[in-house]
Parts: sequence; C-alpha cells; structure tokens
Amino acid sequence: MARIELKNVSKSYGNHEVVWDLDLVIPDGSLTVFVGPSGCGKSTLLRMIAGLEDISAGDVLFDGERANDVSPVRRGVAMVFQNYALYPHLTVRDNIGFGLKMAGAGKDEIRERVDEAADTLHIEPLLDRRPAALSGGQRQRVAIGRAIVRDPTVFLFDEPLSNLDAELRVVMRVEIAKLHQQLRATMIYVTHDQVEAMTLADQIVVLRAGQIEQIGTADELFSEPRNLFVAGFIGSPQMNFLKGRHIGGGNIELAAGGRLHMPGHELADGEPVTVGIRPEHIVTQSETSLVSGRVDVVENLGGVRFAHTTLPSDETMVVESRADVRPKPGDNLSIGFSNRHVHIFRESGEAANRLTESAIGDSFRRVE
Amino acid sequence: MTLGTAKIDKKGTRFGNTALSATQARRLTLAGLALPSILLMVAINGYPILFAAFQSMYDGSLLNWGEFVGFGNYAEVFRDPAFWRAVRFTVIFTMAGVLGSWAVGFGLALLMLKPFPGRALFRVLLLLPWIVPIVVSSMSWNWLLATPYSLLPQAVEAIGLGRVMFLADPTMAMITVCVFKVWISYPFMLMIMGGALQAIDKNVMEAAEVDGCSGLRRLRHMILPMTARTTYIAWILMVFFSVNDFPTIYLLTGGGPLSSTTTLIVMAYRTVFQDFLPGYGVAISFIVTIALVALSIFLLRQIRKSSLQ
Amino acid sequence: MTPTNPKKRPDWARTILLLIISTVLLSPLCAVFWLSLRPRLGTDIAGPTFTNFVYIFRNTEVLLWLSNSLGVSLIAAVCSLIVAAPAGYVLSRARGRAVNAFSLTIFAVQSLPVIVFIIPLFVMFAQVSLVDSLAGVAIIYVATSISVACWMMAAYFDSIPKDLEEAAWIDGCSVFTTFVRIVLRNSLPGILSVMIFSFLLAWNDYLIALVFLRSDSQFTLPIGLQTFFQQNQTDWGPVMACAVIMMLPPILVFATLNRFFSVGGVGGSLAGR
Ligand SMILES: Nc1ncnc2c1ncn2[C@@H]1O[C@H](COP(=O)(O)OP(=O)(O)OP(=O)(O)O)[C@@H](O)[C@H]1O
Ligand SMILES: [Mg+2]
Repeated sequence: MARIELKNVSKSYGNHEVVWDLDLVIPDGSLTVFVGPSGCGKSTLLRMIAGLEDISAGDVLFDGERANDVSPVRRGVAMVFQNYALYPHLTVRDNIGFGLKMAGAGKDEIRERVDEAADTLHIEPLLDRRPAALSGGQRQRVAIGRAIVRDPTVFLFDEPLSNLDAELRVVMRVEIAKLHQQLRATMIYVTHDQVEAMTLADQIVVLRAGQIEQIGTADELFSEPRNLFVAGFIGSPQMNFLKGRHIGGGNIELAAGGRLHMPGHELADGEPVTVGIRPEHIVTQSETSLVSGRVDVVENLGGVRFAHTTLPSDETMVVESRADVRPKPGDNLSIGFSNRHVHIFRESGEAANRLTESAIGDSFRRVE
Repeated sequence: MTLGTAKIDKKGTRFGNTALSATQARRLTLAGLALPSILLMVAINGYPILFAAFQSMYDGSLLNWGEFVGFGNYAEVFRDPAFWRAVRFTVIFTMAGVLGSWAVGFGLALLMLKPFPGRALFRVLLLLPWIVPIVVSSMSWNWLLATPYSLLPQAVEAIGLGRVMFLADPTMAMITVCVFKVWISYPFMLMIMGGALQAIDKNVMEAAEVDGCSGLRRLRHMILPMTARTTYIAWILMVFFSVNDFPTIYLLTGGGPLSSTTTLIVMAYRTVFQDFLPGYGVAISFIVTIALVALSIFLLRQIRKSSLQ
Repeated sequence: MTPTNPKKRPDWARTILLLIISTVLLSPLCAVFWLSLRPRLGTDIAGPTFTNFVYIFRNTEVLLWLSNSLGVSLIAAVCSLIVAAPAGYVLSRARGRAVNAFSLTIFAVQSLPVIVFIIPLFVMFAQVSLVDSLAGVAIIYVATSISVACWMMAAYFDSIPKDLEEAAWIDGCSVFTTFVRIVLRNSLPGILSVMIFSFLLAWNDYLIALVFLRSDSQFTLPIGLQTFFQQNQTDWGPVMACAVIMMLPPILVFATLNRFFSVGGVGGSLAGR
C-alpha cells in the first residue's frame, strides 16, 4: 500500500515540455485513472511514477519519502503494458515468476505463488505455453498475473485494454475492478477511453498538454466540469456547446435565438459566454421550447436515438431521444432544457463561478 | 515473504540510502557496455592513427624513424606524378565499382522482385561472388584470362576480334580490374537494393499499375524515388569499400602493368612494404584517410538531414 | 512487366533468363570446381577424380592452413560479438551527446583504410610479440569488423520492443541483466548475422594476413593458397582443389544461415542516426 504524491513535477525532452509543474495526490488504496487526449503526457506521468523516466524537476513521494532516484523494483511498483511486454522466450509460468526469481525467491515459493496468481486469473491451463501461442486476452491476463504475483504496493496500467476487442475489453474492465476490490492496492490506470475511466475510477485525473485540467470522481467531472475541455471530454456523445451573450441580470441570449434566465453566475454585462448542455438533458416537448433545430441525421442505437440537428445559427446540436419520440431527417425539433442542467462557460473556457448555492446543491465550486 | 513491497528497514526509512541513483546506475552500465569497443578502437585504430600521423613526418625505414621532415613527405607526394596517376585510377575504379555494381545488383533485384520458380535458389547463388574469398575468385579470373592461352583470350580470338591482352595491356587491364570489381561487388547491391524493393508497399505498386504506370516509367517515377535513400547509403558504403580495396587489385594485377591499375591504397602498400619508405607510404594513406573521414562525416550529416524530412 | 495475376502460370521465362545470367556470372566459380576435379596432367584417368585433393593433402600444409583459418575466424567471430553486442545496445538505446560522438566515431572508423594503421600496428605488435601470431591477426579482424558489427547489432536491437526491457527492470533486473537475459536472449538472428559477417571477413581477408603472418606454420588459407599458387602457376588442378576447400566453408555457412543475414537492415539503420 502506498500513498503517492507528486510535487511540482515537470518533465521535458530538450526544450519540449511534456509535463509542467504538476501537483497530485494519489490516496492509498485508490484506483486513480489518468485520461486525456493522445500525447497529453499520461504515459509519461505514469512512467515517472514507475521510475522508468527521469524527472526533470520536482519530487515524487511514496508515503512521504522522496523516490526520484529509486529504481522501479525498490519502489515496489508493478506495471501492465499496453502491448503486454511478455518475455517471448519464457513460458507463461516463467514469465509470471520472473520477478520473484530476480528477487531471489525459492523454487517452491515461486511455484506456489504463480499457481495462486494463475488461479485468480483463470489461466492455469496456459502455464506451459509461450506468449506467442496465446490470444490477446490471454496475454493480457498473463501480464496482469506477472504484476499481481509480486504483491506490489502500486499497480500501474498503461492503456492495458486498448489492444483488445470491444467485448473482451468490457470483461477485462470488470475483472480489473474486481481485482482492485480484492487487493485493495493503490492502482493507477491510464486510458484515453473515458468510459473506462468513468466506470473504474475512484478518482479521475483529466490531463491536457501536460497539465491537470480537473481532478474528481466520475460524478463530479460529469456534473461539475471545471472548464470547456473537461465538459467536452467527459460524456458521450459530447456536450453541446452554444454561443451566447450575457445581457445582464442573469439573462443569456443565445446566438441560435431564445433566451435563458440563469441567475447567480459571476458574469459581467455583455460578456460572451458558451452554454453547454448534454444531449440527454434536452427535452423535445414544445412547451419548454427554446430554439428549433432541423434534423440532419438520426443515429439509432436501439433504445436511444441521437438526432443531429442544425440550429438557425448554423450551430449543430445532438439531441437524445427515447423510444417514444422518433425524429426523422428533415423534421423540425423544438429543443428545450431545464436550467439546472445548463453549464455556463466564460470566454476563457472556465466555468462561470456561481454566486449562490446552485440548484444541484453541491457547493465546492464557489471557492474562488 | 513480500517482495518489492514496503519493507521498512532498520533506519525506519523505506528506500534507505544508496550510493547511486537509478539513473546514474543506468548511465554507468551503458558506459561500461560501450567500454570494450572504445578500448578496441583506441588501441587498434586511434593510437595507430596518431602514430601514423607522426610517422608520416619522418623519412626513415620501418623500424627506424629517421629524420624529421615535417610536411616534406606530403609535399613530395603532391609533386609526384605517380600519385596523381593513382588518384586518377582510384576515381575511375571507385566510380566503376559503385555505379557498375549498383546497376547490375539493382537490375538483378528488379528481375527477382516477382516470384518465379527457383527464386530462393537464385537469391543465394547470385550472392556467391561476394561470399567466395577474394583469393579464390582472383585465381579463377587469372585462369580465365591471364595469359594469351587462357580461355577468354582464346575465345575472343576464335570469334575474330584479334588478340586481346586482358591483363598485359594497360588500358585493357584497367577495364578488366573494374569489371572484376563490379563482379565482386554486385551481390552487396543486390542484397541492399533487394531489401529496399521488398520494403516498398505492394499496394502502391499495384495502384501505379492500375494507373497505367508501368515499365520504364514506373521505374523512373515510382521505384527509383522510393529507393533513393537506400541507394544513397549503398553508394556511400561502396565508395568506402572501393577506395579502401587492396586485394581485388593486388591479387589480379599487382597494380600493373606499368602501374596503370595502381590505386592509392596499392601505391601506399607498395611504397611501405616494397620500397620500404614508410613515411612516404603512410603520408599517402593518410591523405586517403583524411579525405574519407571528411567525406564520411559530411555524408552522415547529409543522410541525417534527409532522413529528418 | 505484366500485370500481377495470382492464377498465372509459373514464370518459367524468368527462370530461364536468370539461369543464363547466373551461368555467365558464376562461370569463374564453376571453373574452379571443374578444374579441381580434372585429372592431373600425365595421368590417364578419365572423368572427375579427387586426385588433386589427395595430392594437396599429401604434399602441402593445407590442413594446417585450414585449421589456422578456422581457428582465427571463429575466434574473431566470437570476440567481435562480445565487443559489438554491448556497443550495439548502447547505440540502440542510449541518447545524448556522448552517444552521438560514439556513433560518429564508429562510423568514421569504418571509413579508415586498413593500410593506414597496419604499419604502426606492426610496430606495436612487434613489441608485444603479436607479429606472426594468429592471436594478433584475430585482434585486428575484430577491430576491422567492429563498425559493421555494431550497426548490425544496433539494428537488431532496435526491433526489440523497449517495453520488454522496462518490464524486466520493474521485475528487478539491472540494466546489465536485462541486456543479457532479455535482450540478448531474444536476438539470436542478430547474433548469428554478426558472427557470420565477422567470420566471413576474417576467413576472406588477405591483406592483414599478408602483412602480419610470416612463417609457414602461421599461414591462414588465403596466404597459404596464394603462396602455393605462385609456386605452381601452371598446375591448376591442385591449386583449384585448394581453392575449393577455401570457398566451401563460407558457402556452406551462408547457404544454411542466409535467412538470418540481412545487410539491408544495416544500411537502413546507418541512415537513421
Ligand atoms: N522520448 C521522447 N522524446 C521526446 N518527446 C517525447 C518522448 N516521449 C514522449 N514524448 C512526447 O511527450 C508527449 C507526451 O507523451 P505521452 O507518451 O506521455 O503521451 P500519452 O498521453 O501517453 O499519449 P497516448 O494516449 O498517445 O499514449 C508527446 O507529445 C510526445 O511526443
Ligand atoms: Mg501513452
């Protein structure tokens, strides 16, 4: 078990800053997920925690102790790589037992612990094969086996499921969640798949260009995104964004027509804003209609349909509709939504601060 | 037993104190791994080069350095008409070696690009001139054309082209040596260019064919540009192989007749080991070295630049 | 060229064309075999015989030369691997100014003419009695093969995923044990190409042996053969029998292991740095 702390951590390759002055606490026993677009520095951050990458500035602390110069083994980390990195010349048994062997464990102990890990992961029949003779999912299990057998304090996963097909990904995702409950070790998990992030994480860290955009639980990120980037990144399909202007007194005029009354936000008169609303929060009954949109395309996912519409302002908007409403291309939809689901962002991209207790009742955002 | 997990040691710290950080240990190991090769290069290449640089400024014999003459040997070399003749033939020999072997090797690689019965066998067979020891191949060529009674001169005479003296006539000897060099070197080009051709995406070639780009036009507009980088590298390597080549010439003609096939390297060898003038001979080889090192550094930069784009 | 058609009949025309080309190109080598099997002058045996081979084994030191050559070439191949593999690993994995200088040096060494360091080496080796010794020659062979051997190893190591090493570090291997237990262990094709390359270089060398080996007992095959050839210019049979013995090992090595051998990869990797 370990609590990991990053203090003012930076990483640069030559002049190229990849991670910049980053502070982060990963609580003992938590499952923390790093998400962010490709190239944002997730892997780099994870590898710095693992001890595979030098830290250009700042400190990495394990249980309060500086670990910058400590080798990966002595940090007690185990890592599962995206392409598994199984040793091709060793059998599955030897692959899993390799770390124990390097640590000088006895033959019997290695055998016992490898069997135990194999039992947990249901890979006993594979123990005498070589990695080349395994399927992707099986390799993935072996890679996880190699990590758990050493009883590490910290598990690191770098996009471990991205090479699996969609179905297997769901199965393995559940198994990793189970594993976390069972082992209660600190786990850090890197992914660019926000569904994986939302389903697994105790704590999600959203990264962009080497900096943290927001840290929070899945619910917090979903309902209280701190800025446009997080709002757009979390949730599928994406949040809709509409241009507007605060005309004073909490009234916002949308470029697409219609007016919202959103009191309690710290906005100047005449300030341009972006209004965000998730597709699932849109209602298409005429009584709440705010703007109207022409349907271009309808995606039918079975239970839900997503209508892609164009507003009078030429902005596009995705509308989720349940079974009872069946929009067709060419239809005009009257689009409305309740104020409590609306997110307001200032021109800088930051969410507008609220002045009073909001309808959602969560108040941490009032901090200046 | 828990491994790698939080073992709090006696001092109460988790990681304790180590003399070396993980990074330092890694750097040190890598330096250690490079060390044997560095030592070898210093002992067998570096030190002798320095030694040679000094020796080229003396006019003595093999084991007795003699008088210090400064750059006298170099000045003398540059005044020596034999040196300039050797430069001329070195250039001819190198150009012929590079371009000739490239043309033959690339042509064969193109011929063998598509599958046909026996392709695997031919791939190995055609590499033989490169694998067979030079002593053996020079001997076989000697048998083939050295004397007027050898097979090739007899054959040429029989078809009415008169008496051709392949190794006794200076011009003919130059041509023969160049052809011999091409024959020895084309397999190297065949291998490298064959690899480059196979690396070309099949779909691109097929797309070109669909677009009606075939035959010579495909060669010019598709294949040559796509293998240009490899061609460039292969040429550079072959320049070095040719300029530094000693046995190819020495074993076939010994540099003769009338020094017509003497390259700089052969000249340096003969000056040192037959005329026993090490200072002078080393000066010659040093001029070659400096030219080649300069060339190699320049070309390495060039390739790096082109590979960045 | 004709459009590709998977159902096309085998391209025999091309086979015949290449057969003709190969016959022309390989005729000098065929002549070697043919001459070695031709009955000796003055005997009345018709058809191929091995009398030439019997003759050279009886009347020359060919067996000694052969064992000298084999010994030197094998030692050179092994030593070259021992030196080049770690250096190639550094070239493949380490980054930085020092590494750039290192790779530039290795590249420059490749371009040095052997002749330029042979004289000083001769003087050096004379002081430590390595002249006229097979060990001395083997050392120089390792040095002459080192550049290409390093690049070949580096090119091969480049193809080994870095993750594999990182996994090993995390499993508790040091950089050195990772190199030996993980990287080298999975580099057999690369190791074989380097050894083949160095073996052939040593086996085929003429110049270094010519300068350094002075006495009959130390001769390698090329020198022995050349000496023998100079003494028996007109008696081609035994000379060619000797030549056959000399060219068989490289041909055999190459024919069996050529699938591991790729110079193309080296060329490509040279450009990458
Ligand atoms: N060795 C390196 N040298 C220079 N730049 C590097 C190096 N490794 C990574 N980078 C850069 O660092 C940035 C972050 O890389 P990183 O691998 O951490 O991204 P990532 O978030 O894991 O992306 P992905 O989702 O694609 O895996 C990238 O812009 C990358 O180009
Ligand atoms: Mg990554």
